[in-house]
Amino acid sequence: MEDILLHLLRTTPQIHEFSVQFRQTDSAEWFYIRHKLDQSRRKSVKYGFVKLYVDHDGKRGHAEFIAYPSHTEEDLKRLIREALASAKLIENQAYVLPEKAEANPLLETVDRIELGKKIIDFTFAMEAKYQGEINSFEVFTNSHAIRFVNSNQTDVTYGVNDAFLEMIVNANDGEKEIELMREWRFASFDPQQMEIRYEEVFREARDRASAMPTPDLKKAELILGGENVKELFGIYRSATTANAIFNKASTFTQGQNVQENAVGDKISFTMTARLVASCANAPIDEDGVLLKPVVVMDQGVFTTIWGESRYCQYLDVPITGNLKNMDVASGSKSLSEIERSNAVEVLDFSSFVVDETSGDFGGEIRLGYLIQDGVKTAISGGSINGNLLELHQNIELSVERQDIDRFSGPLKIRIADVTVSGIKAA
Amino acid sequence: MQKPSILILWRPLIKEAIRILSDDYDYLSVLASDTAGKMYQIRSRSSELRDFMCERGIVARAIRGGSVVEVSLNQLPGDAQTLAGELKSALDAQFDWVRENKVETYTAHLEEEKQEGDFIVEPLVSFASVTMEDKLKRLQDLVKEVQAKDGRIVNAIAAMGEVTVHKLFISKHKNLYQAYPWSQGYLVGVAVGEKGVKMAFTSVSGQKGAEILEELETKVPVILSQVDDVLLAKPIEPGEYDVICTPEITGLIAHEAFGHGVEMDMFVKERALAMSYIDKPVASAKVTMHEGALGPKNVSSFAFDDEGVLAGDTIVIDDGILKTGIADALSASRLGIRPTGNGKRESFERKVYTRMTNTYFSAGTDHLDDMIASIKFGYLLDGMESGMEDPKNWGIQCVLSRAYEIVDGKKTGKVHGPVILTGHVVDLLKSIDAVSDDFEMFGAGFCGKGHKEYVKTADGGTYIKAKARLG
Repeated sequence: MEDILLHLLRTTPQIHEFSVQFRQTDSAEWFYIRHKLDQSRRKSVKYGFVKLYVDHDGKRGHAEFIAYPSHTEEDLKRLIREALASAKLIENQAYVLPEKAEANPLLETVDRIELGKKIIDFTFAMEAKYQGEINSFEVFTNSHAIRFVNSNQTDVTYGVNDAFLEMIVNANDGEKEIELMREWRFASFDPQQMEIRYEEVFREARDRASAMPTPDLKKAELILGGENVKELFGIYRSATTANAIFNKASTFTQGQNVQENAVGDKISFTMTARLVASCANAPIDEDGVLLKPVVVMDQGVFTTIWGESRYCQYLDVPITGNLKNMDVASGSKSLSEIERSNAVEVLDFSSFVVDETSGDFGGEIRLGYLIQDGVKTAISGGSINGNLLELHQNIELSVERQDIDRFSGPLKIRIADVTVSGIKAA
Repeated sequence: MQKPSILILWRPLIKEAIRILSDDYDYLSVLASDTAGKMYQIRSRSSELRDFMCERGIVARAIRGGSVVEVSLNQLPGDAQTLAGELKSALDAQFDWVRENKVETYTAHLEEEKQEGDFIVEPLVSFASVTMEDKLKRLQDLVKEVQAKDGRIVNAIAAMGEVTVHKLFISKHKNLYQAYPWSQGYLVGVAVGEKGVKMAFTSVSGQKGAEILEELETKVPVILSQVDDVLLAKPIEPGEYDVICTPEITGLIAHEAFGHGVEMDMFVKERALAMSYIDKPVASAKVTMHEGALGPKNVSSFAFDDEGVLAGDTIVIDDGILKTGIADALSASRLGIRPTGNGKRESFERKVYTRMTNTYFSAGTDHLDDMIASIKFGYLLDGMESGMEDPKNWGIQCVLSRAYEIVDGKKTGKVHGPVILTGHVVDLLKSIDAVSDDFEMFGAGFCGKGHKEYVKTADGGTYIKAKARLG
C-alpha cells in the first residue's frame, strides 16, 4: 500500500501538494479484575493518513482520507479522485506546505510483553506494600512506527513507545466502600515515580472513604495539582494558537499583558517538541514542520503566536508547527506555602471540565481537603467552578515541579476566589 | 443504495478461517467492521472535509478452558489458510503467556444459538444522492445566515457528519451482517460579549441519511437565541433548587445516573451500587427508564451488537423500581444471565465493554406549562455540555450551559451558566414529581467509559421536575 500510494500521489498532476503519515501500531493489553486476568489482547494495525491540496482560483482546498492495507491500487486511485473532487470544492485562503525538513530517524524498540508484565507485577507489589485494594486495572503497552512523507521531499521516520494504566482503587470505612480512578500515560516506566503515585492513590482512597460532606463555603482559595494543572493551563495553550486567533475563538493578542495587574505569580510557558515524560515527542508535526521550542508567554505577556503552519501563514507570523508539549515555568511559592490554611484542595473530580474557549472550569468533588488552622480534613461532594481568565490575577504556582505526559510545570497551584457549592452548611 | 463493502469479500474468507480453527478453541468468533464516513465542516473563515468515524479491520475472540484472548488486525491475507494461521499464532501466544506465567484467569463460556441473517437499513435520502457541492453550499449558507443575523458572532460553524456502518459477525453458529446509516449535524455560534468569548451549540442526529441537513436548516433561530442567552448568562448562586429539565438534560441524567450505573461489567467488578438495589425503589414512581438498541431509532440503533447478540430493549427502571441491568456477553456469562445486546467496541481495535445504546425516560402525563407554573423559585435547565458517572457511589455530575430562572410560576428572562448539577443519583430521581407528555431523543454526543472508549450513544426523554443541587 505504501509504495503504490506514494507513487500515485507523486504522479497525479492535479495534486499540487500532499502529505501522508504512515503509522504502524502494535499493542499488548491486559485487563485484570482484582488478581485475575479478565482477558488479554494484541493489536497490529497500519494506516496511511493522507492529505492532498489543490489550488484553484487563488484559493486552496484540501481533503483527507485514510488508506488501509486492504486497499488495492484501484481503490487508492478512486480515493484520490474523490479527494481531488472534494478539495476543489473547498475554498480556503492560500497557504503552502513547509519546506523540506530533515530529522534523524529515532526508532527505539521495546519488548511490549515484557514491559506489560513488569507493570502488572509492580502493581501487585505496590498493592501489598501499601495495603491498598485494587478493584481492577488495565495495562496497554504500545509501539508506533511512523513515517512522514510530503511533496516537498520530506521523508522522516521515527518511533514512539508509550504505556497506559487505568486503575480503580477501593477503600472501606466499615460502613461504605468507595472507589477512586486513576489513569497514567507514560513514555517510559519509572518505578520510583510510579511508587509515589501508587502510595498517593491508596492513601487518597482511604481518605475518601472517611470524607465528610463538602461545606457550602460559597467562595474559597482552590489548590489543584497533577493532571488538573495541565488541564487548566490548556486554556492558555489553546488561546495562544494561530488557529484560535484566526478563527476568533481567542481574544488574546500578541504582545498583550494577559495578567495585567497580577498580584500573584505571572505565567511563563514554552511549547516544545520534547519533554522527558511525554508520549507525544516528535521531530516534526503533521504538516512536516521541523519542531523547535517556542516561548509563548513570558511573565504574563503573550509573546509568540504558535501553531499549525496554515494558520501561522494566515496571520503572517513565523511558522512554529503544531507543538504538543507544554513546559510551564515554576512559580515563587514552596509547596508548604501553596498548602497553607484557608483553602480547598481538590485531588479528584468526577470529571474536571475545562472550556478552553471561555476559560470556565469546574467539576464535582470526589475527594478534596479542607485546610483550616493547619489541619487537612477530607471532603467529598458538591462542586467548584470559576473562570481562569477572570481569576488569574491572583494565582500562585509552586516551585516544585511535575513531569507528566505532554506537560512539565508546577506540581501545584493556588487560585483565589473560586466558587464552592457544598452540600452542608459551612 | 449503499456502496458495497469489502466485507462481502471478507465474509467467505473469515467463515473458512473459523472452520479451519473450530477444533482449536472452545469458542472462536470474528467481528469485521467497515465503516465509512465524512465530516463536512464550514466555519466563517475556513472549511474542512475529512474522513469521520472510519474503521476497517477484524477482531478475533477465542476462549480456551474459560480464558479469553483477542487479536485485532487490519492487514488481512488473501486466503483463509494463511488468515487462520495468523490468527492462531496471535491467539495461542496469549494462551501460552497465561500458562507460562501461571496467571489466574476469569472464565467465560459463551453459548450460542444458530443465527444467520442480513440486516440492511436504507436511509430516506442516501448520502450519495446529494452532491458534495450541495452539502457544502447548504452549510455555507447556514454560516452566512447565522453570522448575518447577529454582529456579535465572530465565528459561526455548520457541520454535517455522515456515516455508513457495515459489520459482519461470524462464529461457529452465527453468520450475521448489518449495514445502516447514521448522521448528525450541528450549528455553533462563537460570540464576544462583556465576559469574553462564549460559545453556543445546537445539534440534530439520527439513524438518518442526508435528510439531516433539512433538520439542521431549521435550527438557525435556536442557535441565535442560545447565543443571546450565553452572552447574558451569569454565575448562579450555589444551592438546592426546584428544577425542570428539558428532554436533553433528562436524557443526560438517565445516561449518567442509571445508564452507566447498570452496565453489568461493573457488576462483575463489584463497582456498581445498583447490584444491591435490584427490585428496590431507586426513583419516583413516575419514572420508567429503557435502554436498548431496539428503542427509538437513533445513532446507536443496530440489529446486533459487537458480540453478535441481537439488539434488545431493556426496562431498567419500572415505575421507580430498579428491575435489571444491561450486559455484554462475557459479563452475562460470568453473572449467569442472558446478554442484552449491549456489548460494544470503540472500534475493532478495542475491547468490548457493556455500553449504552438508546437510554431514555418514558413519557408521562404531566404538562410542561403546569410544571413551570408549580415552581415558586427555581430553574429550567438546558444545554448539555458534559456528564460523568459514578456507579460505585452514585454521585452525578452534569455540566449545563444554561439555567433559566423561574419565579412564581413564570420564566423571568434571567439566565445563568455554565451550571454544574451535582448530587446523589437516588435523591435526584426520587425527587421527580412530574414527568411531561413530551418525548425527544438526542444523539450528537459521544460516551466514554471512564475517560476513554468513546462510542456513539443516544439519550432523551421528557421534561421532568425535580430538586437538584446547582453550582
